[in-house]
Amino acid sequence: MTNIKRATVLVLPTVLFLVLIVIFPMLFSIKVAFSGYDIRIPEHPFVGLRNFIYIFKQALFYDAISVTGIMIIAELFFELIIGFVLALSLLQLPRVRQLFQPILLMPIMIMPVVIGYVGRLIFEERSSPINYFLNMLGFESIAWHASTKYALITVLILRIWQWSPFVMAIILAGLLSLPREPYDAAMVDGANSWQTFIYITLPLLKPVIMLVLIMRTLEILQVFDIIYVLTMGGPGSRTTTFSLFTYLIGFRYWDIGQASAAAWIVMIPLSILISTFVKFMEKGEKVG
Amino acid sequence: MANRNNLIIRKILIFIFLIIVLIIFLFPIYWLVLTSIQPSGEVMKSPPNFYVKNLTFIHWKFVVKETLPQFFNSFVISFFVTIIAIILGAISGYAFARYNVGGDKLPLWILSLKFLPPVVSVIPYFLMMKTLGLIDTRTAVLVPHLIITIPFAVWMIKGFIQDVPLELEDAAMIDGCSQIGVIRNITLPLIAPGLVVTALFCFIWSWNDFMFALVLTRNQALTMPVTVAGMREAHGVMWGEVSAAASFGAIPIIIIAIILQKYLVRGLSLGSFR
Repeated sequence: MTNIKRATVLVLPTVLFLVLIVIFPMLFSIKVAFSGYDIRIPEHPFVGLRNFIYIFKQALFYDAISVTGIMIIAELFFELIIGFVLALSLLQLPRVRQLFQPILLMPIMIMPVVIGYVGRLIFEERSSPINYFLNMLGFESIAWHASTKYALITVLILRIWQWSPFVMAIILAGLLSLPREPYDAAMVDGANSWQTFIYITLPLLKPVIMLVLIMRTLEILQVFDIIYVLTMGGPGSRTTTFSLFTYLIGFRYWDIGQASAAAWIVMIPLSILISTFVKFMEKGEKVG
Repeated sequence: MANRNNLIIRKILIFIFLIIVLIIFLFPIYWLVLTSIQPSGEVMKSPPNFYVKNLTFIHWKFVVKETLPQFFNSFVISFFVTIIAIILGAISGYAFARYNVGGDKLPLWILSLKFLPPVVSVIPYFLMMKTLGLIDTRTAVLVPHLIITIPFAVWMIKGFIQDVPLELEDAAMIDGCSQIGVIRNITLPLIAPGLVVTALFCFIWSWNDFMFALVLTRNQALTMPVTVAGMREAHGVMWGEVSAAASFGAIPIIIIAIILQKYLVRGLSLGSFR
């Protein structure tokens, strides 16, 4: 047996298994998206584009898109800034870094359901520590996740708290892998630290920043658990993300056909992002 | 001399800043644990207790007893998910790393399956498991968890094998070792830490999943995340109990994260940084 044949034999079981557990269900869900799939009725007739049309007619669909969009923009913005500040600070103190980094990464590892519940605890209206501090500083208590005005902000605070350390860790790993020479040259030329950061660090880090932005966006598109526990999409539709919207259609209103259609709508931006990710990883498999 | 002093002052300021950041970042977790070890009358009152005044494990005792079956379900599911992912990941990871089969693209496309949102795949899985009569079984949750873990395992193990210099394998081969012998005696021991790291990450991804377990279980096969989320609805506001359950469910993760600390970045960055 030639090597390549042997290798194919080794890879084949995994590929076939993945086809079975991913591709096959996905093809099935395309069929469902074009069927009238009311779970209570045994017949599932072909209905053409009806499910998609229903989705596009719902105001909640557009709310979900805008909530998800706001989350992507706000999270990427704040997580990148906080991540950068933390990474640059930790870069100065190598010994502190080894201790702090794993601790800061802990909230990412903990189940998102728990993070959502922690949000309920610390943002509770009457007796939470956050409102206690606000009162101490002379502000009124805020209803946080229960209020129309602050619900999305509460979700964003929790998410940024949870995920900024991820951005920090990637940026830090990127910073640590940068070559030394450009910095020596800059020092010789008398550049100050701000100039060095803008003209040397940022351009060198561009691939790392791109990687982190793609990975974060792909994760934000999935946000569900934390919102299910904290707000269930409310008040109204203020925190209804795309995942929650799809879930509610499928498993609250039990229209599986429409839910499949919604899922396939999100697959369009998702597949563009994923192929960007693949191209990107292919180009520089090891960024660091 | 002045320059040196400035540098030291700067470092001290950065250190103070980082300590404040650490306190802010740990405060929510601290609050969760604090709520779980105080009597019900002491939590969620105004002004809040910022430290333990009356230590009690009553919520923990209650929760550990009540949620042990769900904890066990989570453990069984995550355990078998991890085993399957590591076996398939090791076999195909070796082929990808050493024979470049499928070029660079195939392993990357496999990896990208990890980004498929659970809400997309849970819909066909719900219908399939319903047809097969598998709703509310551990198997129903186990299978879709493989979508998240196998791609990750293949990719990570491929990376760990690529870290083993090819010359080592070649040298052993020249010394008369068979291909299988080389893998068993040279490659496997060298990638063993990598396999453990990958396995622990797979365990976490499976343990933390909420969507699949939420849709595909009812009572018998409930997992920890669904239990924590459900306690809130079933019992109204039982802050102490739910806090204890949430902490209890997070314990395995925290233990694993402590073991993994050196490899956290490698796993989270999908192998982009070693």
